Amino acid sequence: MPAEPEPGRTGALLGALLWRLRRERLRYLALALIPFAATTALTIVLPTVTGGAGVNGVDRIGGFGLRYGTHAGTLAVSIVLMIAPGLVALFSAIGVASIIRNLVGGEASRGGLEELLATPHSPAAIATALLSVAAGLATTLWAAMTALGALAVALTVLASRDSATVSGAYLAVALILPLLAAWAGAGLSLMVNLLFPRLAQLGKTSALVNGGGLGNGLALLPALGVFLTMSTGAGLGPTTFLLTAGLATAAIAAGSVAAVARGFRPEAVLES
Amino acid sequence: MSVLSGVDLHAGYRGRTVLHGVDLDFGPGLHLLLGPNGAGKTTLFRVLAGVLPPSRGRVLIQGRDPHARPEAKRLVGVAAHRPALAPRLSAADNLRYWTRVLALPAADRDRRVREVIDLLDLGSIADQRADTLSRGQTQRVGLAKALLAEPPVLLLDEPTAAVDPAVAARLRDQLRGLAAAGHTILVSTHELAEASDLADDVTVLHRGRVAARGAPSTLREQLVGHGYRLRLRGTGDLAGALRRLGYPAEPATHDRLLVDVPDEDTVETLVADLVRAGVGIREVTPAGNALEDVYLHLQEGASADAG
Repeated sequence: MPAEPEPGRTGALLGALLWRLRRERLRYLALALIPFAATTALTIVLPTVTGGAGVNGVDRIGGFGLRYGTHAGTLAVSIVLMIAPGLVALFSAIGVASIIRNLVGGEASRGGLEELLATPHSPAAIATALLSVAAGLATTLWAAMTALGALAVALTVLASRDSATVSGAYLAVALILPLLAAWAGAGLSLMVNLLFPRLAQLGKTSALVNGGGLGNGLALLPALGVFLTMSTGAGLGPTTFLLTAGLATAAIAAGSVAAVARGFRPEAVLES
Repeated sequence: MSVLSGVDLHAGYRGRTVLHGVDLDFGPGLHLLLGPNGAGKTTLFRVLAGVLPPSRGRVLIQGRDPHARPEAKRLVGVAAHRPALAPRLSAADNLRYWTRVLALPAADRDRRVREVIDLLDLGSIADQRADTLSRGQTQRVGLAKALLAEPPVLLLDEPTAAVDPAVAARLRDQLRGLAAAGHTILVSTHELAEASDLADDVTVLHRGRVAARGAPSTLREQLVGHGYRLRLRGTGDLAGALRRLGYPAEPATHDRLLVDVPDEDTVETLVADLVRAGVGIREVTPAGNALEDVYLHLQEGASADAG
């Protein structure tokens, strides 16, 4: 007699996917963290090397940083405070898009998604489980990179022999926006890989973002938006800023999730 | 007893119809699905497995439609032509992962993994990473995945393709064993030489339709006719004797001749006539096998239409 499966299959599938990721020793996560760690290290070192003289507009960025509650006068601290959230958003999106492309796109090209579709899980349950994994990965990357970013700020303050006090509004912007951008990137990447698997394979050998693919390119857009809004939208005031940028990013995340949940069709995966 | 059936199945991809009204019905035992490239075998497997929804028609597995009720898919084990294994996991971990995907009860998982490893003799490669396995080993791990949930129906897409002969022979034995144990097994294959040895029930798919079904010899009669081509080797003037008896022969390799005869009964008469004519017969073998003739017949038809 066939063994009776356990109830709660979406949970079982999600558990299986996480078990597999853990068994693969989270190699993808480690790889995704390396570029961020390298860039953050450079961000700390670079202002020190340039000697604090305003170059390439960093004084302007520093000014924005001060407006967000940095009471210290150190330009390097301001720069790191302003750049860190954008870097977290950007590298979280790059990391999660690469992982999704390897996990979902790679599985689709190897026939793994077809095998999943042959198991007692509906396409909607499979899409939900993959979305949950994607969101979990994005959150994990965001948390790890935020911790590294906070470390970078602390080290910069120490190196500048100064002190920094940040406002609650800054913390809200710096924490929430990158997380939303990472989720939006994960949703967009998953959407392309599941709904348009052929497009996801385009440009995979190009230099576009760590192995490329349209999914990766799209996944970066919300993060680039975070960078842009941190640079240009500072005059709006933290509340308006957070509401505007946050709602836009959240809308992208929710839209891509809804598109995956409603639009995932086995035919698209099988055709590719 | 019908275990797996498809009624008036139409299916395809984005407006391109591949299956045009396929009707099939399988009971316990080993069944073969044969057809040229593009005949629709893979699409039919996808529809039967509940992966690709048919645009028309219905699949029933033990009376349940896997497209309407996904839980019915647990009654089917599918081994793809190229099994998708997680490359960085060992063979055993791939099986453990799949027990979780299939939502097997936690208490049964390790037992089932051990059982399929023993059944398919995978012990020596269980701890080997999947991306280091040979093609044949990957095929066997894929078959093991299909067996994990002990499904009554197995759909195997070219399970012995590109596998070395010894492994293929072992796989065939294992499939016969599973069929004898009551499984309903549908095998798609291009390996014609082994196909007639593997199953007595052959379904020929051609251009998305069932062209014929039956035992290999019956199919040959249905599709190709009664004629047979023999390969003969003998002492004396074999070619002259054949000509005098009214059977023009063509030369084949290694002193053998090819002769066409109208039916199986004529083979016996011809051999007796040749012996009477003073020829010593050393070898009489069919120049092909029944399925090969059927297959070639379908391919010739496709080529003629394409031309």
